[in-house]
Amino acid sequence: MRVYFFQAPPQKSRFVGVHEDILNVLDEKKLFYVTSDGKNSVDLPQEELEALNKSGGSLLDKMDALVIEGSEPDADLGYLLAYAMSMRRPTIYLYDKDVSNRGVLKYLGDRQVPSFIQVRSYSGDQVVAYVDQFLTGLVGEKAEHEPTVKFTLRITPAMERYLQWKAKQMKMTKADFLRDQIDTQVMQRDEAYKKFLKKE
Amino acid sequence: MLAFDQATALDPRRRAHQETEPGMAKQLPTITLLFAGGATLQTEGKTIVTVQSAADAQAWLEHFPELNLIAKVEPVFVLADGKDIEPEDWNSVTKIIKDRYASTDGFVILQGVDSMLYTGAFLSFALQGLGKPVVLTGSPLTPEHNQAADLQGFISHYRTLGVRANLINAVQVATKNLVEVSILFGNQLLRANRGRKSPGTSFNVFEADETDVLGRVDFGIKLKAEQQRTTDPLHVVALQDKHVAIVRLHPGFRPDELSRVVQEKPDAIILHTYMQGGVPTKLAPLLRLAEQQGTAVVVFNPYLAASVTADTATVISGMSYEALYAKVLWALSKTTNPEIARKLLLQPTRNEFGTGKETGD
Repeated sequence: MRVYFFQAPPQKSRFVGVHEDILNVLDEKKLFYVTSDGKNSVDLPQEELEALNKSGGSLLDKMDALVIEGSEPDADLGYLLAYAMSMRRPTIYLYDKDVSNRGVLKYLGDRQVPSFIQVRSYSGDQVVAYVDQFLTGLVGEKAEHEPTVKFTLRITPAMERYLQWKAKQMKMTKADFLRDQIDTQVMQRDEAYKKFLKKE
Repeated sequence: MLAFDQATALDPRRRAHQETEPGMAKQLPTITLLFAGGATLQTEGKTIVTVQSAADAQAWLEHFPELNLIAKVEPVFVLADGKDIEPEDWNSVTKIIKDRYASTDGFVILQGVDSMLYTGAFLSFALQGLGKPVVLTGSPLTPEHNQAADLQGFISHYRTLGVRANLINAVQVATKNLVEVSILFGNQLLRANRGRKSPGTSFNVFEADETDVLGRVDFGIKLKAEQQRTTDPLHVVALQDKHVAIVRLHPGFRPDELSRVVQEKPDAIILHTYMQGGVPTKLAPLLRLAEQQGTAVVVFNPYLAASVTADTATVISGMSYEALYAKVLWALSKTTNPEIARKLLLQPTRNEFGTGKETGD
């Protein structure tokens, strides 16, 4: 799992200690991360970077989650949260409890903050627990969505021809194409299944 | 990540109203969003929503609550479909920009990809003394995709990439320190009058030489260089009703084809030549006739190292075709004197030759 950690620039931040605590959590969890001040534990393969650049996507697209320490105003805070909302990226937005408001989030109504964005005000060591909890939940959730179950399916030659053609068109493997279809075209659209999950 | 204070990007006359308490987020900048096509939005991968009227604009914007985190976005409707844009629509765009200039920190224009290069190039010439960002962006999808048999295929192709990503990035650029007309599409920010369509089906629909890439999107918007905002008054060159005829030359081109065009007495003729040295000598009498009747003749030669003034025509090189067309319209709108128009065309004004030179207005 890849995490992007945004922090105010250290030279002007009153929260350098908090930032170090958050980085320690990321290290302890052995997660790949990139920070806004240039620390980088992610070894993105060059081919992947080139493909991303050519496709027109951004490096943020490659991140699975965002950790934002937003106690100090910064021009990029609103942008990152907007990005997280639009791309539905799990995000934790942290701010010191002595900062009397929720920063840029005050420009959104409470109901407009989606559930995948957690907003936490912290004091003292709470920040470590909040980040740890957030990341633990994500790792579990990510495992739930990893394709680890082997499934053998017999298909017709016509289906095979179609899959060959479509996968080439989409520049995906046949398996990735099928997984994507099941996820986005079947599961996400099945309202009855969504209701079933809520009851579970 | 860029670490400058967003408040410094704002008009100093407005900054006094944006003082904040310690720890509070600063007041958000105001961005005017002009709808001129390019607003095709796929919602939840199921349907496509476009803006067909002024009444649609606010409702469309409500699909983007996240923009409220970046700026106070004020929508203004110009036209529904960017591919139907006419040069007079550019006057509507420049008028809106002028009218809202003092109260807005930056402008974002949604436009269809078909005409974005033309609009961007024209605005770069028409907005004189620009001291704020003007950013064009749009959707890779068009309303016609609604009828496409493989709509889901198109949507899957672009996945998370679409007008949503472009708009968020463009609005963020419009809050920054950039005082020229640019195009944000995919992960690149380009000088509008130096862009060109890129081949293939990448989300980077446009491309430019590296010197004309103003910034990139990676973990945020990274400008190559910040520019100083100014509070100088904005002057707009209103586009006059001009007839510009375009003729593409080729081996075997018949003079009577050009003759028919000259007889129509257009305000200008752009000859797109294939020759290193200019145009076939057999066309010289016709070009002299055109000049005598007051038609400006411009030869577009993409192959020369520099633009030159020939006996019968102004030979322009080093500029994109879209930028040349826009500049001809701009020059003819600025002056009726063919000599002055000729000088304006040859003179770098907005980095349109890619030489880094600009003489201003």
